[in-house]
Amino acid sequence: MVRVQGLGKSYVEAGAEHVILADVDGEIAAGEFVALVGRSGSGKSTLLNLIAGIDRPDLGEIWVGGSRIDTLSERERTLFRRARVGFVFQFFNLIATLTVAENLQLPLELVGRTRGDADGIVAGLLEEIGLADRGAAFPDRLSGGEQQRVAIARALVHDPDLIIADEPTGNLDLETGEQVLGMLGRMVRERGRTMLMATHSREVAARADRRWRIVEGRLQDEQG
Amino acid sequence: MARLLRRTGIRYLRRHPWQFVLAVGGVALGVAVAVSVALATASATRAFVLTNEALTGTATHQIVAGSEGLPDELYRQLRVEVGVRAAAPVVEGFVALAANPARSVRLLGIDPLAEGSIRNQFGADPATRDFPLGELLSESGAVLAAAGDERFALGQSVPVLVDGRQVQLHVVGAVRGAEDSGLGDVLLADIATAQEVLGVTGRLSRIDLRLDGVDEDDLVRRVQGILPATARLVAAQARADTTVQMTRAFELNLQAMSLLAMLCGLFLIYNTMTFSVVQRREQFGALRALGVTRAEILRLVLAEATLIGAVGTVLGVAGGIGLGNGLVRLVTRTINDLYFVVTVRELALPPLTIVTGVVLGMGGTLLAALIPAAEATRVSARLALTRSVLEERALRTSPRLAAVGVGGVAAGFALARWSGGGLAGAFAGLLLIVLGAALMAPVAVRLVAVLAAPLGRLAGAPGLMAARAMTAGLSRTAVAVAALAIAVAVIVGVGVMVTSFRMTLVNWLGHTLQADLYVSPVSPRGQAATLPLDPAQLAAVRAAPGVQRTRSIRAVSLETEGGATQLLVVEHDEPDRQAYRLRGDDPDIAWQSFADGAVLVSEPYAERRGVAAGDVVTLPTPSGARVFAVAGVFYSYASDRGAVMMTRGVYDLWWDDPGISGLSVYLDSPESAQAVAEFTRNALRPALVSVISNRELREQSLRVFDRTFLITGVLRTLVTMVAFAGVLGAILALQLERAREHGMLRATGFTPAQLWQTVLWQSSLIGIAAAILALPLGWLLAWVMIHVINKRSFGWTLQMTVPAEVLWQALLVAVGAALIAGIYPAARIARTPPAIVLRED
Repeated sequence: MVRVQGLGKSYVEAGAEHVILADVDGEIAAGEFVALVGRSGSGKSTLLNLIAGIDRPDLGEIWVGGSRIDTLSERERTLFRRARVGFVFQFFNLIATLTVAENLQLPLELVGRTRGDADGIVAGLLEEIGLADRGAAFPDRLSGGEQQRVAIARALVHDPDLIIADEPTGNLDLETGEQVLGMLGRMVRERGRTMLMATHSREVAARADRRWRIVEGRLQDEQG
Repeated sequence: MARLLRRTGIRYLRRHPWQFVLAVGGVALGVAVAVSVALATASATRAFVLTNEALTGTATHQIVAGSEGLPDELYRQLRVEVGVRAAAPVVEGFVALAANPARSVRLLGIDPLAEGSIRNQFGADPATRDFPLGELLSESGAVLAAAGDERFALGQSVPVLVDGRQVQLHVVGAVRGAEDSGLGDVLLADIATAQEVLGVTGRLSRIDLRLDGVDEDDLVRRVQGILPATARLVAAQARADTTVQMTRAFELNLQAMSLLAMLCGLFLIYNTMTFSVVQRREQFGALRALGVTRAEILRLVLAEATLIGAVGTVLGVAGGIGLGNGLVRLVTRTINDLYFVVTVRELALPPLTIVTGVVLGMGGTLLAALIPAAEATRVSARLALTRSVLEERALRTSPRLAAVGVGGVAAGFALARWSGGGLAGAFAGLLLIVLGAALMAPVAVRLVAVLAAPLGRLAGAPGLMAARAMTAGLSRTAVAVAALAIAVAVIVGVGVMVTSFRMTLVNWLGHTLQADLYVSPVSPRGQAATLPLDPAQLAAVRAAPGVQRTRSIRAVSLETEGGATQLLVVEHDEPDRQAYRLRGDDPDIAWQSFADGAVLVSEPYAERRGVAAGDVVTLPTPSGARVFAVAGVFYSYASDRGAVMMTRGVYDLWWDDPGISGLSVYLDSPESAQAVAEFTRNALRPALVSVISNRELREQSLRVFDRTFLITGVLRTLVTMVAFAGVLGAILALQLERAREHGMLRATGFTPAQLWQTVLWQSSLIGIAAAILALPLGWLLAWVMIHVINKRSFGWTLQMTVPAEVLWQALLVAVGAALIAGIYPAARIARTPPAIVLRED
């Protein structure tokens, strides 16, 4: 499902080059859940961004679902993301000016689903995440855990191939984090989707099928 | 654009109503000022054109001859000898209503028997005629007035004043539809009546002709062949265009100033849109991650700007029409004071002006929103570009921006001074200077932040935080400072320009008005005045007890190639030299040359016609065109059309006109002024004369000056209002953006009073930064306005005076406006419970 080969990425800061990723190779099979671990600043978010098509590598190739994305234009990568990637962020990043239901409808509208279709899908998902009665509420009326549940539903609503999650429990208390993680894992597996999740938590990483550890810019594959 | 994306934009604006209202207000005020000025000037022009069309009828040409007029005989020659059938003689002048001498009415004398070919409705043909021909031709003082005009009811006697005489007119008929056809303020009379009333028996003001058809060139040649030397055959349309052109510079100056209001409005839009983009960086990042393209983000931000622009433009156009109704009175009064008599009955609404307002509002808003919109598209889905990175970038680029700004100011200054650029180049240069100065705002903010560093010691934590916040929010503070600086610079620039002009005028009046009393006929505005005196009366005044000497002046209008030229005829002698200051190093030579028969030209004349000492001017005299050497150029602020001055001796040599227009009386002692004035009034009876003192004449002149600049003051206030809205918006944005920080401060023990202090300190610093930028910018604007724009528009040299009070006022306005703008945000922040602020974030 995901294959990276010879991936390299560095940034220039104050005239000096900082290598973030160097010669990274790795592969994730369809339906697999891989946890991405490493220290703060090790390059986890950079790798997520590269695989999601948000950023471009300096070197190497990135293949997602049979498409090579590192050679796509900025617009093509945006359209790729729109159709095939679902995002879950640490800080939820729900659109504050849209209601909960509208936040879920947005990805469907972007991929061209009709409103009738979208309403049905959104209602089902809201039911599934236990927020059927909060569809008309704006995100700022929801607790952190509720907001992250909406964010998970938003990541899955348009049925993407790949879910990218960046520290999805990093901003939640332990108990809520557990619940949210349980829900995310269940929903992804039920739908047979592939997930790459960056995390600092050993417990979270332990739930994954495999772990990718980034150490000094290189990827170490650790079996689950 | 996706429905939900559109919804995010609309909801954002609804959640920030103050931001929306201020932005809309900025556009609306900017558009309103621009539209109102355009409507007011267009209305005055339209009123003139309408009246002119009605007065010229179907005439293609006119024979004109300045204030001296044409002999009656010429009309007979035209019809009989040249064979021109479509010709109508006209006697035209102004009369003042005795009941309200300040009000002038045009008196148009026509020959109904000849009118059929030119102004059909005033012809004698019973089929088209709608007035009592018999009474008009036979009754003394018979006139036709606009139907429905209460001042001139049918059968009413109307006493009028002209050239110091009172004459009775009688309304014998009405002109229907006069208001609509531009004849609302016109009294029509038979030509003989008009000649009698205006005191020009045997003379015509002009002859209207229709010289179209196959033999037009031949006819023109033959007509020119019989014209007296002082007369010219001119195309009717070209003559009207020349008159309208006189006000062009005045209107252009008003329009340029109105555009400054729009420019301040655009800063407001820029600020609002930038704030809305910065505030939603995370949201845009999330949208980009979800697959929203850059183009869609761009469209989203521009759609919001379009909504702001559309609402602002609609309100602005409506407000502009309302404001235009007020401004048109000021514009008309100035045109009447300075150029020609025109009465504006209603505000014209030319579609083009409305369209221009719409284009200005919408185009300006979108232009101002373009940079923030582009910024929004650059928001990466990585969300790596945080606010601090943005501010760091603003700090880093500020020296480069300032360098570009200095370049802009220098280029603008050079462009303004470049003589090939004309008036348009000067205004473009002015705009460049303003924009260049705006780019220096970040550096001005940084400078103030450095200077304000000791505030921490003086005012504690609030002072320290206020000083630091200046650079911490540089991208915001700089825009607020730029908007306020431009407005304050306009206040300084216009203030210095008006003061310099006034001081120059006061000085000029001081040395020009040397006599103790000035005698002139009571005459309506627009009428070339002549004192109807016989030599014995004049001798009586000259020999009156207490009178040291008198000097007469004759002012006539001549028709020359370059249009109407005013000729001033003076009794030249040594003391009069004091009254006229000459340009150049050696006035003695110029005066000698003047005494020997050369002429002097006023500065506006020299500038407009490109004439200098040593050149020649050609003037039409009764015995043909004569060439006069130009002895020098004298400063004069009486009119921007300019004048040629010659001695009475030279005038008498070439013109057969013993008339005088006014008399200056020099007294042995100023105490006898009242007695001499009284004596003069009695001695000159039955003529009605105005005898006013030196002081009264100065005051009168300055009153006209102040009236002329009233509209400038109004525009200056409007520009300040727009800028104030901009500063209020910027400070609100700044403070609300820091709401979380304020919440934390409150949570850690900051009192509401300390928050108040922080916000007000910061507002004051913004005001000071604006003033630092505004004072030199204002001085530069004033310099360009005085030495370039004024000179090119009106031809006047003004002595630049920078009054300290204008600078103090500017400083007060800058700091005051910023402080007032800080009050609402400070109050709002101080009263918001910290828990809510922290939760809202």
